[in-house]
Amino acid sequence: MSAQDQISAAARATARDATFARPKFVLIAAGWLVLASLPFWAGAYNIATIRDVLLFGLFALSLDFLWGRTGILSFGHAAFFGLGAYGMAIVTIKLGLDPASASLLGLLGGTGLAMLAALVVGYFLIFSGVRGTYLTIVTLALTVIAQHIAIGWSEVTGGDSGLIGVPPLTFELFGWRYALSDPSQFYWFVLLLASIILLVLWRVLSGRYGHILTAIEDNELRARTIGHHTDRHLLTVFVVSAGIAGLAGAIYATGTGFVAPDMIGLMLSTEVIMWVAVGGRGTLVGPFIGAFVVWWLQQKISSIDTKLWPMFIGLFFIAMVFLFPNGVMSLGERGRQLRARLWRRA
Amino acid sequence: MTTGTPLLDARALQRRFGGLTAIRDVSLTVERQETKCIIGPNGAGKSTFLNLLCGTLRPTAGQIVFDGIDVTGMPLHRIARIGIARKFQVPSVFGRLTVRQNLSVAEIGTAHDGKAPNTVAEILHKLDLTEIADRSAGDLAHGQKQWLEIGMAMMTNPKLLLLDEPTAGMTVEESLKTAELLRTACADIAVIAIEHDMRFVRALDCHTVVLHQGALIAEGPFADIEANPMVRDVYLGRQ
Amino acid sequence: MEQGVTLILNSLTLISILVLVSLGLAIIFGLMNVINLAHGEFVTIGAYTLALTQAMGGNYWVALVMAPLIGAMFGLLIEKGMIRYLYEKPTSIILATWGLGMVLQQGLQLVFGAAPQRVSSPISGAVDILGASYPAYRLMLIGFSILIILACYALLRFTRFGLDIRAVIQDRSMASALGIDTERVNARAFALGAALAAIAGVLIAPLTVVIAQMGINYLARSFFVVIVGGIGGVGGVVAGSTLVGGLEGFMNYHLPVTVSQALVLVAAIVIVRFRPRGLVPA
Repeated sequence: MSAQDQISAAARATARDATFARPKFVLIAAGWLVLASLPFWAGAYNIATIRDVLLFGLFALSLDFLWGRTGILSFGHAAFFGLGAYGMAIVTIKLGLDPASASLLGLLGGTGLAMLAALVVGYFLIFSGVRGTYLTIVTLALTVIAQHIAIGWSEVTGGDSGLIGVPPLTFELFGWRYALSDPSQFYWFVLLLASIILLVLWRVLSGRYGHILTAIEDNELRARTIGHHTDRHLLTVFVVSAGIAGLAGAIYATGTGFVAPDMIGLMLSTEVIMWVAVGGRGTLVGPFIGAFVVWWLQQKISSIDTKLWPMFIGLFFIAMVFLFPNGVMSLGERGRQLRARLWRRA
Repeated sequence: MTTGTPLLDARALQRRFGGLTAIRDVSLTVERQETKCIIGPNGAGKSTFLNLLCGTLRPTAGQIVFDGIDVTGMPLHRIARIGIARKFQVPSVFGRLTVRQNLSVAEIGTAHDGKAPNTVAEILHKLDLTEIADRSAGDLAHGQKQWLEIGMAMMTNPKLLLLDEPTAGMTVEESLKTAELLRTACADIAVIAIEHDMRFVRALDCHTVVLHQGALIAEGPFADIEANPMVRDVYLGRQ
Repeated sequence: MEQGVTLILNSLTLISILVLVSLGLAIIFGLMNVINLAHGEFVTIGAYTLALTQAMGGNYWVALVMAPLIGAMFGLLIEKGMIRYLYEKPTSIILATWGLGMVLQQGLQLVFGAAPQRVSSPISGAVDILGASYPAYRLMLIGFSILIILACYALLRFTRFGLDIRAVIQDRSMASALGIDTERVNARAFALGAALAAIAGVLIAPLTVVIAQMGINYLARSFFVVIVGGIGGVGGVVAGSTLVGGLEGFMNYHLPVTVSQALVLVAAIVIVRFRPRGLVPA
């Protein structure tokens, strides 16, 4: 490689790092505008469906924050989503509060429950130096047991059939009460919330804090020898990630109006990994795209036979590891490289 | 402030691995702004000794006092924060970050002794890295990685810098440049360097300590050490 | 007294099941640092072997011999066809084996249907022990797992294969420098682990509901066993199973199953904090 090549390679690398690489940014902005205008041209059913997919995207974003930025794969992220959903349902249905306080307490309780669970599990494991695959299987166990509890503790959780009758989100400000029961308004609320969380995470991660996390993933011992309390950084990311998952779950429950054990179980934990993997790990926007693409695929495949879907996920996981370990989006990159090489040869 | 006492006072350090004693009863003091080299044949326990000083290993016996604080067994990140920095033998920079980002990640805590903290621009300049500041650290040449790592250590505003074979794998010119960089960039802090390369130690021309089979066998200015017949026997003579 | 004996025997049954399932997992985990999320499906394969054998008119003991062979064959196939390429990438192994587990589950369901499979135990009736009447089959299961523990211990301690395994667990590069064919050790150990899980599947089948998804319940708990007990030895597995199974067995008696499972999770996590390398480190 000549010096000239080296310099242009470096320039390309910097351009890639600049997150506002132009075409990509324009695409994302266009996609956002399409989403924002959705209530003007789509039917109520589609609005509600896309809203749920957006919440799944937010949930996937929470996993991407953890997995993409620290390399820690949580195999039980649905446990946090489900804690949020069940927290919301139990507070609003069982406590008999007025709607506004119930909504607020449900949001706080659901999110708080998820964060508390992550804090306890994370503290004991991360501060003991447990990393990588060990952490993954403990999170796996977490979701299995959470699902068992959701099914078994029926006085509180409603058992197999779950809880029905979660009211829509209701806010009260200075005596003025507002319930998000209109599908379009609820949709916009979800879109706005997801966008804000995405922007905040993107902002934080593209700065020095993001570099610190990258450094920890690269070489944790080294990060410690320059003075970073890496245990605390990792625990923080774990807890915040669980909080976002819990928040997505809590809002999801107010949209569907019910909670059921499959919102906390292994299947959802598996699917969220797939959304992130399809969208591209560590990309933050990718998880939303992944959630959309996979949801669309699921509709197509399940319409043939519902039993095919789990089989498809299984095959997808195997294929991913061997064919596109960096996510489906990396296939495009690889294709471009291949084309460039052929072009040069011709 | 504890002027008068040495900056680092390692007393009778010992480290065993199972039945093997890798370090036996080694004491070492370093004054502020002093540079010391530790030399010795392979397996003499040099790296182990450095690992004890910076906290990656715990001594089985002995005590390490740094600037009046007992740091024996203190967690790594706290040791780093009170002013001991370390450069590993294998260059370990964060390959996915740029040179500038590597330095910025290492910018931590405050400066000691009322000095102004080192800034990224300053360190880039001092270590001659300004031109490659936005290159990805993973793509750097071997020597550049080593200098970057010294720069990262400097960003933590250390009072003491520990260097594990800073010139390993370097060309002669690179070694000499490293000695030069250390003299200029690290003039106002204490440095302990483990080295193999006698040219580099001679260029550094500092107080030198010889380890052999885990024990300290000689100590003094490099010229004396070079002339010491026992040291020649165990080490220099074999070259 | 009677209740006490039943309680202890129930715990022993649970511990035996956990030991059987976890032994293979621990060997694979300790040896190759491979987290095999399809391990539960080896148990399922064992149970289905019993169901199929009995459906075709064969008896229990035939299945008990067949199951480890079929399990070993599957294990070998998976190691050669998949795991082998992923040793350097632990997360990839997790994802791939998880995918494989789902494919196996769906495959079994496709072939055998979603309804639980019919299996029957070879011995019925109960035995009087210290005034408590206890099912004979469960006693047989306890006895059988003690035999398997001893056999595994002897295998690891006294045979060439066992020596190789222990050498690789201790220091892979050293072992290969000494001329041990570590790839062959990996493949054989994987097959052994799968065979043990399949035996466990046959033994467990008459006590549980045999469906394609049965593996996952054992998978999560046996990982706890391995984490709590420590990697790479029979001793660690027995210690871990005793703790996890004993705790759950006793708590089941006083608390709802779900609560005791959650408490076991908490206990396991707390233990990891204080003994990060398990109760009996390798």
